[in-house]
Amino acid sequence: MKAGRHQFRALIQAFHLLATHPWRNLWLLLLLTILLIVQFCGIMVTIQGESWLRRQLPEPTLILFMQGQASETQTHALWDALANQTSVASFDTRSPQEALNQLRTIPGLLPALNQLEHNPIGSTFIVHLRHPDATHLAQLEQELSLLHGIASIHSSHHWAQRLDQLISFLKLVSLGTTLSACLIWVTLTAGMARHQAEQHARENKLMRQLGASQMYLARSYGYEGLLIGILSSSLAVLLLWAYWKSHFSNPLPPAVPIQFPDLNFLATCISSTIFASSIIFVIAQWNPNRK
Amino acid sequence: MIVLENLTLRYPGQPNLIENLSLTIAPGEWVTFKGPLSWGKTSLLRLLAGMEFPSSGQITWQGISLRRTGTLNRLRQCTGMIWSTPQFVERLPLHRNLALPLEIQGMARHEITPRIESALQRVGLSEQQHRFPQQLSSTDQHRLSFARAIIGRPNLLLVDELPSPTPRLTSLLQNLLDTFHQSGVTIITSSTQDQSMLLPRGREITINPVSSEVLL
Repeated sequence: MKAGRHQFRALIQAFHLLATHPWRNLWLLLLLTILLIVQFCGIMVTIQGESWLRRQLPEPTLILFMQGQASETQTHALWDALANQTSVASFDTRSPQEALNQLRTIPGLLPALNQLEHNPIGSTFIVHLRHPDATHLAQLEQELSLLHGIASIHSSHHWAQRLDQLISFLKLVSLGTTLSACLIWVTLTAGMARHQAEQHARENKLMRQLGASQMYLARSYGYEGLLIGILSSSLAVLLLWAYWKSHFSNPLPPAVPIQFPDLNFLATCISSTIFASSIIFVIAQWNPNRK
Repeated sequence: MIVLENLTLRYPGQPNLIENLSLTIAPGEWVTFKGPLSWGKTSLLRLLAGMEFPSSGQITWQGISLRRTGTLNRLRQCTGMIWSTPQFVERLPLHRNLALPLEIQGMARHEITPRIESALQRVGLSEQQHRFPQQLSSTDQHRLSFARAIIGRPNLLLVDELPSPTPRLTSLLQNLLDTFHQSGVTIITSSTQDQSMLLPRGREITINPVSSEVLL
């Protein structure tokens, strides 16, 4: 009962503290919100940027050229090998005749093809991949080249390498941005708490003379941090959600698996911000040696 | 029971303000520290309130050292303090300022309100309870500090000497202290050597730091 009263009074005190300098606190709150938006976007890009980017680009393919017409045994062996690969989304085959017919459709090639005495094209397997990275692609290429009857393999290996580099760079930039924003946010929040504590130093000293413990005083600062955390993170999420709704939700097909706002992500962002803000407020003004 | 053992107080770069003071104050006793200006009377009261810590020696309250934060907080919660320059939370009106010690003790709102009314009535500030401390005259600020000191029904009252108090203020304080002393509250006051604002009561202790003596 007594503890409950203390909690309630600390909450009221936190509102008082926030209302003491409304305009200054409002500006700081907006600044914190902007930093949180940068942080949340940075985390989004770090976590989901790769899958988003890969899904915007065409799927990489491997084209396996066989030596002549593939026998049934060779085809089955290849099917088995491809079916065991998790990175293989699907594959289809072209017989030598189908490949030749496809070539005939290319303007200008027909006279040359008519002069051929026999069909030089072997069976072809077109393998669609599930966005593997460059290393995986090279490994798959290596494994398949060992199979009997493969003449050559054509792959988008270099493109995958570049994409990997681009993704690494993107992750690094987003992580750097997130960390910087996080650092500025922590500094600003701690500064705000410290300033608040200094503004009320005389008051706190008086409260201690009346018998208030450090914990009693810290509680209201904890609540103040909590309020700031709730306000700034909710505002940040609301703005992000509104922006996402107006710009991205319609043009993207529903099959695209990136879901923002994802409820778990948002809940994590809000709760971790509230917790961090509250802790920073308590730590920043805590000084057990004050008399 | 408050026990001061071999208490010495020294500020950096200055001679000892209080030296080797040992003293026992029994519950319900009225003790007055006497001595000329700047001879450490207020510092001694501050030591007893835990607002300063001694350079050496120790103060115990009910057998527990005041250096322990928990003990200090408990002592402060049952101590009323009246200082020569009263301080208040300026953003809060009178009645909210008076509620603070009771809120710290965890008292419920319905218990606090009648106590505030009673305390304000005793010091004659009932009409001004919604005003802010800085809107009060110096005398009324002292009255408010009396009200705050007594509102928690303290076991101990620490009273520093007031600078040039009016006769009415002195009379009010004297009456309050007499009433509380009669109900068994320990009272510790300070006063200058020659002229005391309060009538002499209980034990008088003259502090003489120059000769390092305590004259009992």
